Amino acid sequence: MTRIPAQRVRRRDVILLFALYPLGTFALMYTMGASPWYGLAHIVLTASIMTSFGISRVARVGRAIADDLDTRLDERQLALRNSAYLQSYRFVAALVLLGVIWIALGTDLGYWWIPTTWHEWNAIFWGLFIYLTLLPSAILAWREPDRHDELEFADA
Amino acid sequence: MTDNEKGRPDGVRLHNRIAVLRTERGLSRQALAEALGVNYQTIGYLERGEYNPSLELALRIAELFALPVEAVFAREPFAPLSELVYRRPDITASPKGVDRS
Repeated sequence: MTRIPAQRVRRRDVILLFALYPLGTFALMYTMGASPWYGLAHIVLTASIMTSFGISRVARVGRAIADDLDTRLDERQLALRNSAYLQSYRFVAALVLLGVIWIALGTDLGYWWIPTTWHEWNAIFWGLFIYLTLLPSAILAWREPDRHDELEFADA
Repeated sequence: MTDNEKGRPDGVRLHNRIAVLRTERGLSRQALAEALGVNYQTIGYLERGEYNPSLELALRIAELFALPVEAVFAREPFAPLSELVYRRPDITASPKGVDRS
């Protein structure tokens, strides 16, 4: 029987996972964007977010709920996982479409900022990497209700 | 939560006696889940009517309890067992050994 944390803990982890990366990246760019150490600092930021919240918490909870190999999931879990995958696809498709429109209009009209440097594209790449790999687990972790009669809770 | 967990997208909900039958047979949710080959949480979802099983799973559940599937699942709510057992006219109106004539 796999323990999953209470819903408020899971939601806090999801928020931290997805909020810390853009906030941290902006903070790094603002404070040390011109520094030769920026690249290393960004790798440390990404790796620490992925290990402290992504892989160790959100992905683990997602696996416990329904994000695992087909053979390990029953029919309810498969339906749950497929629903999370569908939601993720819709979200990422909308995000990518808006990004492409933003860059296309930014390039043509020059009204707003668009990524141009290696560091900016690198930041977008790793941001998308985190979203693409962890969004289904995050959706499962976010939506799964607390079941006081059958789940064991672990405040963290 | 998927549409199926809420019952069905069209609002159809299956009623079942899984909780009663499981308790009656002294099975834990974990034991029933293992016997059916599903996650233990799925038993909770089934018992609360938050997930409608596939026909295959419904038949397996009925087979496990050695009952016809309509004794375990129904589209209308089941009458309480106490009502079915104790308010039958042939039991309450004519207790065994009592001559009503």
